[in-house]
Amino acid sequence: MNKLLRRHLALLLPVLLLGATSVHADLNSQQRLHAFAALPDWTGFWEQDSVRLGANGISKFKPLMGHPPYNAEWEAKYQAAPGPAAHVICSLGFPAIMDSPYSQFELVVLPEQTLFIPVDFSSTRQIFTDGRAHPPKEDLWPTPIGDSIGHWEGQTLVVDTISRKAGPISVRNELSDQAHFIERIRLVDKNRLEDVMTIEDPIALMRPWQVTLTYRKIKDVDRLIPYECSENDRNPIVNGHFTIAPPKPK
Amino acid sequence: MKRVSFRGNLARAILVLALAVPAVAHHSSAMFDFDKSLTLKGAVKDFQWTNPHCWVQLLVADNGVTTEWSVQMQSPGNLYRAGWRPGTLKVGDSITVVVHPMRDGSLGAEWVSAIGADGNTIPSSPLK
Repeated sequence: MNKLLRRHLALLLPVLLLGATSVHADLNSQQRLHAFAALPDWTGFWEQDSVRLGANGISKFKPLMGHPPYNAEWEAKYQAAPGPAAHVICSLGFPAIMDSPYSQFELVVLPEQTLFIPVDFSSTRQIFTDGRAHPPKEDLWPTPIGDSIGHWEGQTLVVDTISRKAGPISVRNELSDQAHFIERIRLVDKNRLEDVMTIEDPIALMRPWQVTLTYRKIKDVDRLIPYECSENDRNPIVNGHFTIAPPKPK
Repeated sequence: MKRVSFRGNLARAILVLALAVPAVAHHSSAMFDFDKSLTLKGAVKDFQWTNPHCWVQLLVADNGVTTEWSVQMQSPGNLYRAGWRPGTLKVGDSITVVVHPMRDGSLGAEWVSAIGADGNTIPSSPLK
């Protein structure tokens, strides 16, 4: 081996060793593997339990959340709000995404977080279970899905969500940005998931509101197909009514 | 191609009085008249596999006059689950479609079901 080659090898060796070390460092630690093994298996695709899909792709759906126990002011606002005809179901946000015909979702349960990924990808929820607290007030602003942290009580995921942007929680119902959500999510049986959600909203509600949402495991999908409304929305509202616009020229 | 128009030719229209179906779309479905079903026979001008709705532009001829209907379907996600694919319909396909027409009488409708020129239901591999 000539002197030049030996010099190059001497320079390369530490780099190669460093690379090998970093490969090992990227593997899951035993601690993480144990933490993962202790988590429930919620693998698969789920949807709100009432949704039934017909052969023509039309879903039948019954909302499970019901009517909030509004205080007088918000009940009056609700009564004055336009009916479903003027509403569009797009970018639902939380908690509407939990009680929607577009609530097909996948759950990814990891030690550090649980990901709730719906077909409306913009409403993906990241529920941190790594022990962190909500960000301090000055670092927090309302968003469509809010800020969620969680912890495990046995096989039940307890989720605490705040800082959700005021807006619809279903087709007509609304809550303020002061709403605070506690969810207890667990597997009832291997094909059914339950989310008991308790909502407090000092601005809109008279008392805490508890709803139970259930989800069914669905086996006729092999992937999430994104749902959104901007690609080819041909239903403009004209004089308060939905219409059909002609196709855009190609 | 033959157009069977709710407005123009009641005798040939198939009217079905049915219970309102709680159809789900990205908006209210009140624009469609679920008490009425209409059968349209025509040729596919375009099949738009898009969000939030897929669409079929259907050319329907009746008494020498051709009209273009916009038939609204569900989202690609829902249709995919129901056995549809982007290539299920092709330009020029001759199909017979049952629809719920628009309440305002415009040439738009919601897709209910269809059969192809071979008499088979579309899609050929429906929901499992």
